[in-house]
Formats: sequence, structure tokens, C-alpha cells
Amino acid sequence: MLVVVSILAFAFVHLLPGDPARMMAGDDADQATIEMLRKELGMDRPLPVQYLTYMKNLATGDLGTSLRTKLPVFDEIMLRYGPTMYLAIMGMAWSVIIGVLFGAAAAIYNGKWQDYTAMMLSVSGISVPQFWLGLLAIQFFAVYLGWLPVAGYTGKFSELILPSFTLGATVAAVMARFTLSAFLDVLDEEYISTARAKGVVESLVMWKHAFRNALIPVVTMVGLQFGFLLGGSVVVETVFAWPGLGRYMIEAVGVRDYPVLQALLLLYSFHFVFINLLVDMVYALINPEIRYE
Amino acid sequence: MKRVILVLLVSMLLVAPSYAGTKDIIYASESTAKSLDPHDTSDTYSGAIERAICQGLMGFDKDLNIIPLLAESYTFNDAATQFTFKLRQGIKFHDGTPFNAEAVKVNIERMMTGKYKRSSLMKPVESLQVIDEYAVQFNLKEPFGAFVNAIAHPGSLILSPKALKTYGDEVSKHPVGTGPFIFDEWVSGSHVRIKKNPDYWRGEVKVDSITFRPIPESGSRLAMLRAGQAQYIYPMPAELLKIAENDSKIDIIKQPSIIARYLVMNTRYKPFADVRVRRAVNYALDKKSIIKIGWGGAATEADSILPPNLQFYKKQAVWPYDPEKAKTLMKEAGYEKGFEVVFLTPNASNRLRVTEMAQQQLAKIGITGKIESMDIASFYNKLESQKVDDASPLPFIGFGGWSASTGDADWGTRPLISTDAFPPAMSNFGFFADKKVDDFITAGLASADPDVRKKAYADLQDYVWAQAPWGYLFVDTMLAAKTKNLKGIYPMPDGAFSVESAELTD
Repeated sequence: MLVVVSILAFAFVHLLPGDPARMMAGDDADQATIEMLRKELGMDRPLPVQYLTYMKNLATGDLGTSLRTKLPVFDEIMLRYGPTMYLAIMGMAWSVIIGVLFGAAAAIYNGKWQDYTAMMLSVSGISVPQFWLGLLAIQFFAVYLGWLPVAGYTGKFSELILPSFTLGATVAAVMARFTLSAFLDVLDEEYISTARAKGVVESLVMWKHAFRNALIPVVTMVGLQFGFLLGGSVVVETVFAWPGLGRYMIEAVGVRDYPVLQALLLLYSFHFVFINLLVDMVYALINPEIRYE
Repeated sequence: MKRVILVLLVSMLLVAPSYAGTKDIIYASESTAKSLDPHDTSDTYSGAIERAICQGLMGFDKDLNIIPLLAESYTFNDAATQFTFKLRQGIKFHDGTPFNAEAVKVNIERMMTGKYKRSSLMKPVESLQVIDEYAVQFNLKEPFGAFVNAIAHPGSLILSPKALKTYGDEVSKHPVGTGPFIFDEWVSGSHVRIKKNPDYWRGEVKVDSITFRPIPESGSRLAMLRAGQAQYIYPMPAELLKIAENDSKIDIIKQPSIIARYLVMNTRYKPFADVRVRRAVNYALDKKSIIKIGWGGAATEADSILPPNLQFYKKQAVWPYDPEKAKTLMKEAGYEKGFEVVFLTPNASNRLRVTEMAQQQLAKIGITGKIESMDIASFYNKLESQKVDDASPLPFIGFGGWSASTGDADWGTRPLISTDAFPPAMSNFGFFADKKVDDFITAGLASADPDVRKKAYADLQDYVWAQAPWGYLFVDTMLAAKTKNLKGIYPMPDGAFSVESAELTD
């Protein structure tokens, strides 16, 4: 699977128009400098040779060095993996807490004001552009109130709050809509009627019988969204100058930093494979009837 | 779950940050540092950080005049093939290594290996001779009157020979120089920090540290300044100028640059081979409105092929906006009905805006066409893949920009309009070829005598202005902003900056 991805990654990246040597050499470079760099970067060799070298290195776990900074790609990615991971986890936490609560509330109080409020907020959450929400949050919490840092990440928790909230808000909205519909579907099931007929207290019906079952599609959604978040949100990482993978990707595309792009594409595919596995395992936890032989 | 929320709330209250009391400066910029090895750096931003750590034999002052730094003085022969530098004595690198002729030799010979992005600066050099401990002589292969500019270029900074020996090419992560600041830390993608050099040879450094942080989004950058979390931002976004001007804690800095913007046309083939058509283009462009609407007002109209801050610039009369005259010229050239072109531009929003305006204005004299916008790598790819003898090229108008990083007239003209500079060799993307231009450019390099050179470039500018190889547009004005209590940091005309005399007042 990952072998196929690695071939595709190499092919895609080299199909992009533009020449890394030209970009590295700078705006006012002469041809001699560009030729020298092309040689230095190993790009004067035929493509199949470059591909074989790339695969050979990959097999030994060597992702190569960034053309732009000459630092090892592996180190550069590890440096940015943490910040993106924290951002994804915190963003996911915000979105699950807010999204599932809102969704559940809307389902339980179906047709009442709680329902309308929760759904109105979630529609706004889906519609609001992330960069606008981020800049607004910066203006209010960082410039006007002066409570939180504007941008950047140097390891402080306070720096994580605004970007993760901005990231989480959009996902929360999706999550709320999803929880609502899953919940309503479950409430229509016969075992809920049975439970009520048996005289089980309403709150127990909701939390024990309905909620747990409604969670299954929600977990799928969480997994899927988390896969995207781990790739690094380009918009949030740009607005908040976050030293993560999303911005790294954008910078690398801009100068055609082939080894970095190839490594990131591989990493993203790995994320999705891994997360899908994780989601399947969580299903089994929530509903013991799902078993994998 | 409740505990998590509680922790969140409490931590939000606890982190109200305090930033007073220290002499630390945060410099927020659009760009990210790419290397700290001056010989192997091609971008202005990394080069500017390097200039705070390392110095060259010569350097630039804030108006881009050449000043002696590690050299005390220099002499040259009439043929402009021999340059001798007398070095300053008693200077030490940050690691204690003494600065002397041997240190210069090690650095220049490293550049001369041809392995680095700025090796081209030393291409004219045949050999370097150590005369005594504090004097070196460069022998050139052929006359190169602009050589002192190459020496003043940020690519020719002098690194500690000991650091070069210890780190090799890894010196890009451990730069050691003689400058006002000592390299402290570089976290790729996050920041570069430099700290005060307590033994700086030119006098006391007045701040403790400077941290360079990349903040790509312009709104966030201004927010950092307004929240007091940065003391200096560059570039200051032109579209947010009003907000910044209304903030009493902020000063705006405007500095004319040496960045020229222009429209390139393929002058080798019809219709742009006809000078009347090229002049028509210049008459048809309303530079004033392009600057105001397309560039946020942050520019001045072009009044020579060289920007005013470049050495040997000579002012010309701005091409007036005169669509009627343009139409007459088009008619004379036989293009009364106009013709079709394709507009090429990088896809940055301000460049696209300028191209759209040019497209509308040129449509009025019959030059019509679609815009192809693309990212900068594809843009270069497109321009450089042109063949000089492709007889049926699509006529195009491309948005060009150039910053002559050596601050010299030669580098502001030769790579752009000389016959030797056809792509892919250099950046004469319009294949402009004119014997007279080539002769002026050669004459400008044949001597290192400022008077002789001045004459050559004055003639060149007079001549080429009327030949109109480009649709001349404008020269960027750089916008930066700082807090009121910060002094001594300023943008340089080449797009870099100087932090040597930075100071925080209370």
C-alpha cells in the first residue's frame, strides 16, 4: 500500500511545473548558479535514477534532506509534528465537547429552543471562514483584552488556546449536525421503545441506550476529521504562525522542495491508514457486539 | 471532563502575559529563515539576519552607500583588475579567533570553490593574495568595475575560520562572525534568536536580544504589534495602513526600495520588436492609478530603468499617461486594430491586481488578451522555457520585478537587458538586444573609477529609457511598523533591514 503511495508521491511531485534549483538560487541568480545547484541537489540525473535512489533511501528510513534548508527532512518533520499534533488533539477536544453536547441537546430537546439555538450555532460554525474567525479571536482575546498571545508556538499552553478553538469550531459544527442525526435515528429504534415500555427512567434511556449507540457514526467522523487535522490545517497554521506541518507543506510546495513534499504525502497516507485501524478498534469498545475475528 | 474544562479556564486566567522590563525585541516578518550561511543564502531575509551576526570587508549604510566595515580602506588599479583592501586591526570573532588576512582568504576561497549560492559573486576573481597580516589583494580575470559592490554584498560576509573548520557546511546552523549580535538559537519554522555581543568593536549594543519570528498572515502580524507582543513588523500590510495610523502606540516607517516593477515584452519578434508599439504601451499605462489601487499606494512611478537608490541612477522624465498618443503610435506602427497577447503574472494578489489594471488600460489601445496567473515557480518556468530562436512565439506581457542586491548599476541592468542575459543564462526575458546598450554596460564595468562609470550609466539610462524595452511601472516603497519606544531598526532599500543600532527607550 505505502509502496504504491511512494511511487505516486514521487510522480506527482516531479510532475509539478517549476524547478527547485531555480527557486533555491534566488530571484537574481545566473545560470551557472542554477546549474551548480541542480548538480548539487542530484537533479541532473535521469528521473528513474533519482527514483531508485529515493526508494533505496526510503527502505533504510532515510527521507533525504530538504532542498531549501539542507536540514534532514525527518528532523524537520519531527520538529513540526508535535505542534500539529497538539493542535489537532486540542482542536478535536473542543469540537467533540462542543459538538457532541450541542448535537445531543438538540436531539433530546428536539423541536424546542435548545434545538434551534444549538443548530443555529452549528450552521454558523460551518459557514464562518476559519481565517476570519481566527483573526476575530485574535483581535478580541489578544489585542483588546490582552489575555492571550497573538500567534506562534514556543511550548506554552496559552499559545494553544486560540488556534485550537478556531480549528475546533468548524469541526464542532460538523460534529453537532452528525450527532443530532445519529441520535434521532437511534431514538426511532425499537429497543428504545422497549426500554421506555419497560419503565426505564428517561435519563437512563437517553444516556445508556441511545447515546452509546448514537456514538458509533460519530466516532467514524472523529477519526476522519482527525486524519485531516493531523495533516496540519493550512489556514489556522498560517493565521496563527503555527510551526506545524500544514505551513511546512505550503512553504515546500512554493519552492518545489521535492523530498519534503514526498515525505509529507507518505506521512498523510500513513495517518489515514493508521486512524482507520484505530476507529475500527474503538467501535468494538463502544459496542461489544462488533467483534473482529 | 469537568476537570479538563476547569483546567482550561484556570490556565486562560493565569497566562495573562507580561512583557515589560527586558531589552528583548521581537521582529515579526513575513519570511522564514532558510539558512544562516551567508555564502549559501539567496533570500534577502536570511541575508539580513546574517548581517547582524557577520560583517564583510565593506558594507552598506542605510541609503545603500558603500561603507568600509572590516576593511579600513581599499585601492584599485586603472584597469579595474586589482583591488587591495587594508584590514582593520584588533577585531575578534565571537569565538575569540582574531580577524586577519588569513580569515579573509579562507572565506573567499570557500566561495571560489563554486559550490555555494553566492559563489557567483567571486566569479571574476582569478586569485587572492595575502600581502601581510592586514592586507589582501584580489586579482581579477577581467576588468570588473563593480567589484567593491560584490565585496559589500551580504553574500560576501566573513565567517570565523575556526567555525568553518569545526562545522564545515553545517556552519549554516552555527554562524560565527564579528557583528553586533551573537547567534543564539534557530528553531526551523519557529524563530531565530540572536543575542548581544558584549565586546562589539564599533561600540555598545543597546539591546539584549532580538528574536526573528515568521508571521505569514499580515493581519496577525499587525495584531502582534498592537498587542505589544512584537516591537517591529515587516512588511506592514498596505491595506491595513489606516488602522495602524490610528494607533497611538505605533510608528509607520516608509522607505524607498531598489525593487523595480515593470512589464516585460518579447522585443525580438513582432509586434513588440517595433519601438513605437513599446512606446505606445508606456503611454497607455496609467502608473498613478496602478500604484494607488493595485499596490496600496506603496510605490513611486518609475523615472529611469534604475531605481533612485541604486548607484549611478540618473533621473528621466516619467512616461506620461496619454492614451491618444498611444493610439497614434499604434496606428503608425500598423496596429490600428490592435493585436492579442497573453498576460503572465505570479498569483500574489497585488501582482494580479496590477496585471488586471494593465490589461484594462492596454485594451483601450487595442492590446487585448487573457491573464495567466500561476505560482512563482511555474512563472519562472514559463519565462525561462522560451527559446531565443523560436520564430513564432506568443506575444506576451509579463509582470517583472528586480532587486539588484549588490546595490550597483551593473546588476540593475546587465542581467535584464544585455544580450548575454537571454534566458536561461540570466533574466532578459524579453530578449531585448541592442548593441549600444551592450557597449554602455561593458564601458560601465571597464573601470572602477566612479566618474567614468557614472558617465557610462548616465548614457545608458538616457538611451534605454526612450527605447522602452519594458512597460515601466514603479519602484516599491517598503512599509514597516514599530512600537514608539523602539529606535534604530530600519528597512534597507534592498528589502533587508539593519538592527545594529536597535534601542528600547522607556
